[in-house]
Amino acid sequence: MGKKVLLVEDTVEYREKLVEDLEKGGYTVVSASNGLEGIEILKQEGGKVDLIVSDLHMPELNGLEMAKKIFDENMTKAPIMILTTDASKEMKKKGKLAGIKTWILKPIKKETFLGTVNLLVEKFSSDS
Amino acid sequence: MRNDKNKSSIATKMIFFILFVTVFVASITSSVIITQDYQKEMKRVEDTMTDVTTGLIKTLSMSIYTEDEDQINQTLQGILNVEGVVEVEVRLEDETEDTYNIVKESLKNMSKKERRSLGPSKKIKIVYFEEDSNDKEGEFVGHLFLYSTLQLAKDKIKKQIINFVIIQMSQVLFLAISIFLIFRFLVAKHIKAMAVYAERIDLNDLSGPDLELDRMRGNKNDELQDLTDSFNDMKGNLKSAHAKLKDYAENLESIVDERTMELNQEKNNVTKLLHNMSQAVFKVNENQQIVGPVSDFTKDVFGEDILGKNVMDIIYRDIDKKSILYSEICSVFNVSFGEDQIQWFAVGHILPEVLSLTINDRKRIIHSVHDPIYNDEEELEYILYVVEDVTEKVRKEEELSKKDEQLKIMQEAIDFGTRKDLFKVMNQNFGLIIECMNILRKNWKLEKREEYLPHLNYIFRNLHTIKGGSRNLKTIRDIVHKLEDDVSGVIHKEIVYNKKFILKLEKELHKVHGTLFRYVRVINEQLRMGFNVNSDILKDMGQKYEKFNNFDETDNWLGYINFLEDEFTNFSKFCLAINENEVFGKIDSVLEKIKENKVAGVLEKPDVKVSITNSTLEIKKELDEILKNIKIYSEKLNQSIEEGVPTENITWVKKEIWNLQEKGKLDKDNFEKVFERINNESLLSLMKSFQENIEEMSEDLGKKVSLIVNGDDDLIDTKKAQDLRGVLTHIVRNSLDHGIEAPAERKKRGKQESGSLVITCSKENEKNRRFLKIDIEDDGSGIDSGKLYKKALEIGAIKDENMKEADKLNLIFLPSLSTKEGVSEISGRGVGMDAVKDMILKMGGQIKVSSTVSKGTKFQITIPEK
Repeated sequence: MGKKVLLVEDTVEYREKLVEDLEKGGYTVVSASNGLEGIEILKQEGGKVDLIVSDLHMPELNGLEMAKKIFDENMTKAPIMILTTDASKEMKKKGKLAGIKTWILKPIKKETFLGTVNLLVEKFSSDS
Repeated sequence: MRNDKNKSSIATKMIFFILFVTVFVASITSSVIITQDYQKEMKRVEDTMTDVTTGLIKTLSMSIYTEDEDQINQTLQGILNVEGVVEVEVRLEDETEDTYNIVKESLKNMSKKERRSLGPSKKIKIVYFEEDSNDKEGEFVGHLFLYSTLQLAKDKIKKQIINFVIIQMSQVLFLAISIFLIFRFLVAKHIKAMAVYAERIDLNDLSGPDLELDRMRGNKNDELQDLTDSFNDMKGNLKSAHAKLKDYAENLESIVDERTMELNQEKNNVTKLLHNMSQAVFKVNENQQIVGPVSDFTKDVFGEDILGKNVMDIIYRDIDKKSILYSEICSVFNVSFGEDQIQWFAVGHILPEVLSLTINDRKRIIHSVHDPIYNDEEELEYILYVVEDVTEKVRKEEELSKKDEQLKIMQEAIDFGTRKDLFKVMNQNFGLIIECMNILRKNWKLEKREEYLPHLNYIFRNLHTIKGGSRNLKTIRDIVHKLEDDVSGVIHKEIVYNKKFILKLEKELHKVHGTLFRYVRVINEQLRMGFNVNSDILKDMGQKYEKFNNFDETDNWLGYINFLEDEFTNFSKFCLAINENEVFGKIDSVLEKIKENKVAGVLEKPDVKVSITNSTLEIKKELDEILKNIKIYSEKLNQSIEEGVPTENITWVKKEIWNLQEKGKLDKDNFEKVFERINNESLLSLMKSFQENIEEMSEDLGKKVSLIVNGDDDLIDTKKAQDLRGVLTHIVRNSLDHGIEAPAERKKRGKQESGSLVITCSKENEKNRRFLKIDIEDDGSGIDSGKLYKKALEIGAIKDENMKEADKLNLIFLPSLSTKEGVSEISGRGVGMDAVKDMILKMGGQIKVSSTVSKGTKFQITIPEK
């Protein structure tokens, strides 16, 4: 059984691309199109995912808010990685309080994306 | 040192232990034995009593029956005499009190109770049996009470105990002493010797004899011998360990010194490195601030002191602050610091490695490498920058790759076959590609397959012919092959025929033309094969240039933009066709920019206007340069065939290359070395080339002159050959004009009608430098040095009235001095001898003249070979 990644991204094409990349990288992917849906799916999975990859800007509940809720309610121990086009210092500070582990800048090369995902998942499984 | 007072002995301990154990064991066994003896004794007393009574009871019963008191007392006394009995009592029947009681004399003072508890007692029935009576039961007469004492038994036991103790103790003592002695002499003695030996060991001198046991050594080792051997081994180890330790201790100081020196050296090295490395090295902290240590070279790279400044204002200052890249760099700084390696892995690569940066008004190309520096918590603390100015490197690399490409083309051209063949194929290629372009231009609007297909087939055939004919001209073949594939794809319906394809095809055809043109330029410029290109594209360059120069901004901005788009599209294709790919790229990006802004409807915004105008100006400047060059080049191409590299040079180079190839030594360096020679000319060929001039001139002058060239051949480079040609042309002309006489004159002087001009080439070594020596000698009338001198004085060229004869001839090299009063048709033109001398001096050479009137003149030129 491959490791499981929860992918939250509102743009359909980009989500599909990332799902494809992750699946090529040997991951099982559950995906959602916004933060609310992301949390819903995380609950369905019983919090048992190995990594959460989320876009920052999304309707309903954005990536940061979603991360904060997940972190505050301790829904999972899996690390959270945020995709964004730019990141300010404030954002990073808020992210720290929301348990965000890594920031990634869009657009990203498949190799770097998968490499980062691999590193995070590996670290998570060796830590827990 | 050991404390002697607290010494104890294993032997003593052993003795105490043995004593304790043996006494303990002996006591238990003794007490068991004694108890058994005691019981035995008790039984014996009882038995005795029983025996006595059974023996005497009959007598007693009779005495009582007969009431014979004496007898009774006598019998009782007898019983009392039995060993152990202390009191005898007879109680007659019907009597309650003692009737007869006898006590042992020695115990009479003892109380009755005490006496009777001394030992066991016995009550015996006294029955009288009448003699001869059959009465079996007899007549009961009374009871006999016997009281005994165990004193005897006790005394006996006491004696036995004493005996036991004495015997056991002496046994134990003997054993203990024996063991003590045995242990002491067999073991303790040696152990003590070991102890003494060990105590005497001096760490500073372990060279003494090994420990030996004070006994005969048996065949087999016992524990002591093993211990001794181990001890000696240990001593050996100690010896070597101590030696090492001693050595280390002795060297420690020098080791510390050495290490300190090394560390200092390292520190110095780091400092030195920072001082001397030709890169800018610095760290950037989370506030984007540049922190030290900063390498000295940093100042050279950035042209200013950057310590403490914001990195965004230094290395990234030329990046548009509104651009995506700029925001990405900021994001990297924002998210990386204080984070782990994964975060750096995710974003660190975004920091650009190659940057264009204006430093002191000069555009530089900067190469920047970034390394993360983590603190003890493995969180990013600094980013280390190693920055290098690679402008020169990039330029050199470009030059090198250009040179590489040139060399490749040159080799291909040389290997192609004859020059004629190459020209034929190249011109055919140009014709075919121009034909393809024309077909496309005329028919690109056709949409129906049956209409455009024949044209595509034609283009395909042409491309195929180019590929086939180009044989070993690899770059041409490759590019054509690719295009041929695309066209074939459309023909076979694998690729869609649409506007995109047409545009691509047009572009690619121009590119093929550009590649052909590149070959021609290299062939002509490097091999000087004098190749005349016949291409429509290069025609009418004058018109093109003019059109371009009229290309000015008008008041009507949008109209100008439309005009610009059209013209730029044409020029961009033209650039491809003449292999100016870089400018093509620039024009293309401006066209793209115009298109984008047009779509966005912001074409008239002031900043867009400025941006487009600036780019256009830049391109115009470059295009102007290119068009000027191409115009000159194409005019030259159309005018005349350049004088090519002498055939023998090409043959020589070919042969050399083949040789190197055979030996497997044909690498870039060797190839370059060989090719250098192709641009050189043969010295003798250069001399022989005057033959034609001489024939022409002598005809004009009505003279007869024959040229003789001899000596060693050599290759000299083109520039030198050109200079030398200029110099020699003047000397040859002078000889023909002023030196060699007309046939009639010569005849009069007794010379042959035909004059001779002899050029002799040779090589000379002087002070490790190689020189070429060229002698030009004619058998003409010679130079009248007197006349020359007079003339020089006359025109005021010299003031010295006492000039030596030898120097007078050198006046020929003075400016504007001629030996003939009338300026002849020939010598009046061109350079004078002064210019000849000048030129030779500039070449690093010398010229000497010697002459004999009516015999002839000789010029000796010496120039350095390299």
